[in-house]
Amino acid sequence: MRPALVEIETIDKYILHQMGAEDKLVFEAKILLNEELSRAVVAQRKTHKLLRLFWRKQQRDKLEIIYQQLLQEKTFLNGLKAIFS
Amino acid sequence: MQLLIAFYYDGLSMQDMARRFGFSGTRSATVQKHKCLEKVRAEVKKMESYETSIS
Repeated sequence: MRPALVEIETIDKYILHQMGAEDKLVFEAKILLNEELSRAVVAQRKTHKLLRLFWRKQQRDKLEIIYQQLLQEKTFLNGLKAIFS
Repeated sequence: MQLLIAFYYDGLSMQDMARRFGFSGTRSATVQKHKCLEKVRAEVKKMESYETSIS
């Protein structure tokens, strides 16, 4: 695997708390000494945030489909109306 | 993005990833996952430098 991908893997382990305490300390020292690495860690954290937003939108879209299907079910709809009447 | 979602949020193993996305093995799946993350990260960096240049 080329060095850039090894870096991605290492940063992932750091961000996702999958690094041992010693390795974490060494890595944090590297981040302090290397501006490029520091920027890469920031960018990768943002990437994970974006991924989370994307996943949440997908889940909401799936829920919306289920909700619309439920509203087509007469027994469910009648039950819902009974609750609010 | 689907590959990354499958790994980080659907909890698929590398073996399942290789099967679902048609990779030859777990090694290929791992490399492709890292490459996807690299591409998205590069776009994030591009956006950041654009935002810095216009602010």
